[in-house]
Amino acid sequence: MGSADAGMDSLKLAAYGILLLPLLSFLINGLWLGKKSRTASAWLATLAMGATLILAVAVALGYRAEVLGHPEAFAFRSAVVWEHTWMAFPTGSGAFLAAEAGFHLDPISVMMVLVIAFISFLVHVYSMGYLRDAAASGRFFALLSFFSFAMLGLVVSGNLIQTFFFWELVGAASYLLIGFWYAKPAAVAAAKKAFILTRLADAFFLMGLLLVGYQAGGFDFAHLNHPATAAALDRTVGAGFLAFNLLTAGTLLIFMGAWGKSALFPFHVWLPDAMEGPTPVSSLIHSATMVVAGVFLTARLYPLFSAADITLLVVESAGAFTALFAAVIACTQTDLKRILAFSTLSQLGLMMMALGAGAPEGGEGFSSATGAASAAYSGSMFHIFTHAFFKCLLFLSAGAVIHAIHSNDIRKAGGLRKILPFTYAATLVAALALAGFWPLSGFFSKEEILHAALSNGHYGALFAGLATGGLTAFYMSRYFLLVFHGEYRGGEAPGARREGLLMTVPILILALPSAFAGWMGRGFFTEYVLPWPALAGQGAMAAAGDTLAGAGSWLPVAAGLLAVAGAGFGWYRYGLGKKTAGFPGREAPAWYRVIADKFYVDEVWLFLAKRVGGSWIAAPAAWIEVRIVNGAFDLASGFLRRLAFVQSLFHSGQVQWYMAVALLGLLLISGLGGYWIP
Amino acid sequence: MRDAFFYALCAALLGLAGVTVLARNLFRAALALLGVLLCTAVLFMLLRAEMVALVQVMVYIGGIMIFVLYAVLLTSELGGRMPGPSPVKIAASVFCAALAFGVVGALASRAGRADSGASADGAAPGPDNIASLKALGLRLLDPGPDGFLIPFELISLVLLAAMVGAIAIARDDKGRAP
Amino acid sequence: MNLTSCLVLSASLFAIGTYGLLTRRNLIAALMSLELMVNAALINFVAFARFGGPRGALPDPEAGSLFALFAVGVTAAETALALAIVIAVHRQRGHLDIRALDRMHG
Repeated sequence: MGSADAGMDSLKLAAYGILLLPLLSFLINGLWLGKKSRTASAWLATLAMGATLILAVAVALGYRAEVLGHPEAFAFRSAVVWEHTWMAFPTGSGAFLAAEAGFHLDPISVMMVLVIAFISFLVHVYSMGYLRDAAASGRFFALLSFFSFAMLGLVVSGNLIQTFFFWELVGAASYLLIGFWYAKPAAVAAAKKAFILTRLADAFFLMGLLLVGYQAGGFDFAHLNHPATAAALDRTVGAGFLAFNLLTAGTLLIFMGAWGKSALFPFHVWLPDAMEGPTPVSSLIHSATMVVAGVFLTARLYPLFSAADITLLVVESAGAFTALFAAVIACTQTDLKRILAFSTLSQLGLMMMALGAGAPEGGEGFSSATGAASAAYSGSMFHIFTHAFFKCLLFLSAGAVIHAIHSNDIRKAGGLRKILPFTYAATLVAALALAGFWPLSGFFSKEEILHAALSNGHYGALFAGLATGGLTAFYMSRYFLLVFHGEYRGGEAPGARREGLLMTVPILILALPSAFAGWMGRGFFTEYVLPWPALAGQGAMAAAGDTLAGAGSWLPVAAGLLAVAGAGFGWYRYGLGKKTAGFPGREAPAWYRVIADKFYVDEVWLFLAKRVGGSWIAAPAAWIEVRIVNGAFDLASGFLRRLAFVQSLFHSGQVQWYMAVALLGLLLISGLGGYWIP
Repeated sequence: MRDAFFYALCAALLGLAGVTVLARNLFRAALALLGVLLCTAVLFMLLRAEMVALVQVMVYIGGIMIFVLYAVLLTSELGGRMPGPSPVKIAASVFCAALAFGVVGALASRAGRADSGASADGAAPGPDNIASLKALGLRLLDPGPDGFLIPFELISLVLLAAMVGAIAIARDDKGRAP
Repeated sequence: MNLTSCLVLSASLFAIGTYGLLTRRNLIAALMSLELMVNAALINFVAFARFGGPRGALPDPEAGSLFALFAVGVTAAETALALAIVIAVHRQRGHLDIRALDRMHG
């Protein structure tokens, strides 16, 4: 273990730096530099993020050399780089329920660290161009650094407490960034909506966290994922109709947090509204990193979740439904960023569905590390990886388009390939990747997901995945053709300003992984990104490999054909110079209007908030606060005031009153004294 | 005989005191006070403290009372009728006065109820107990523990301070430089 | 005439003086009541000097007279100052109403 320790030590400095650099950049920019000089703060944040990226690459390389090179020394290929005791709750008789603050590396956290650092750095560079004319950009860069710090802290944590801590920080950063232009009422409303909805979900997360942690005797992932823990928790508590299975309830409650954060139906309503924030925010937070935190958490606790009887089924159903639901809505939207937002929702649904599809048919536990489960797990993580690149690129290019035409509306775009040639090319790559065209990255990650569903017998999920793929190709081709082809439909001439370098270069850089991440990452994901029981035994890895190569080879062909069909239908409707096909106004049929209005889910939430939250809960609470609590205080203070008034009568200024009082006092003292003194 | 005179004197004293506190005319009250002081002086004579009676007449009546009369004459309309106090005030003051009478009287008579009882009852001590002027003078300037030398010195300071203070308070500041 | 009657007399005079002090609205009238109270004390001094004190203390006419002397002297000083204040108040306000002198109110 000596060499392993030495290797880990060399990574320690880099690991500290990865968290400290964004934090310092946030503090310096937020407290001082942001107000002082906008340019300097932008440079500081970007350079700090660049340094973090370099450190992340160093850590990844170190991880590959140390951990992957010496698998016998590191169980489950996970290593603790540094750790400090943070909280310890005494549970009686000298025992402690402890949580550490630490930096843990294992395959998925290394992947996430790289993705976060890379995307964040590119978004920083992009923002330097996008927000060049914005007034409060100092605050923006501070918040971007803060978000990066929080997200990095989330993925490297080794226990639920640290995860929850950074989970909330990430939510706060999202709130602050969505509402960045706080003078815009729509932005403020969107920020509140996002924060309140995710906070509601997080309340359940906390409940589940505490329940599971306390009953299991620890919060560490290593402890929670152990089969003995799952077995210990699998018991019924409560009595009568309140009885529930502890494991199921706990995991479902924890999953509520992921439900909200990853915006699955019906908690998805905050994500489209979150597009009110600046486009770099949408590309970093609400497509590539924060929203996948829910998927990440589910993956982290995969052995525990799969030991519960219905949790993975719930995961899969929610994911599948969201994928289809959002894809359908995306076909009718007219706001550029909202199309992409619904696309993100759909892809997130796919990722969740993939994790759920790893459960063996019949819902048995995880004691057998089936190859299909490994395939589903690695497919989901692979899709996070590829999706981050092309979705981020799509958002950044949408930002460039918005900058050029000064509007978010797709009806005002068109023919922009002449003005934004580089953006056009890169967006083409990303759109094709998202739609799942071979040989781009999206094809491979979606392939793994569909294979896992097929070989595990989850035909519902398989159908949902295929249908979503077809719809994705359709709406992406609609988006692409309406924006870049055809004639320009806007009012004035689009911004003749040449594509800014700061905005174009990140877009171009992202095109590379969008195209090639499939080839690059595939080996890593199939071999190392596997759930822990699979990692424990060598045999399971081979099984995973077999699954991918063998049966069901008709699947990629089918998926590819669906993609082509979807894109073709889009070309038919929106290409070929057809200008107005696709913007039905009020004369649209009723079913179209329902879809375009997003199935009125937002209105349901609004009603719940206003009527249930407002009239039934908040108003009585306010009454109690005003009348009873405040009333008690007023009573006390009124009493004191009257007491003081009575006392003030003794200070009337009237000499004879003073003399009378003095005389009485004197008589009292002398009388008493005279009778006690013998 | 002597007792009858004493009781008549008491009656006069208390009656005049009543006039002092109840008269609505200030000048009349001042004259009543003058009467009280005279009766007190006579009482002192009865109690064989001639020196004190002398001092009472000369200083109290001849000095203080004149001063009070001056003040009265300078500051008020002589024929004027002052307003009386409110009933609440009267009741409260009567209560305080009664209380004062009770406490002071009880204390004093407890002190006066000597345990030996020998000289409590007015048995006049021998003629050599009379304070003669010479004895008083010697006692006044006696530096020993029984003497009154130190109070004598101190009271001169007190009187000086009072003089200076009175002048400072009452002088007219209008024509002076600030 | 004995000690008790003298003490009763002085207590009554003290009480009358108290009533006047607390009741009178004119400043000089209140001062005059104060004089009554001082006189009551003087009578007390002289009575004890003549008849003797508690626990069989012998009468000491000299001490009693001298005490009374000093009391008169101090009273003179106090009256002088009080009447100086009366003059000053009258000069400033034009009246001597004791109820108007409440600047220490609060």
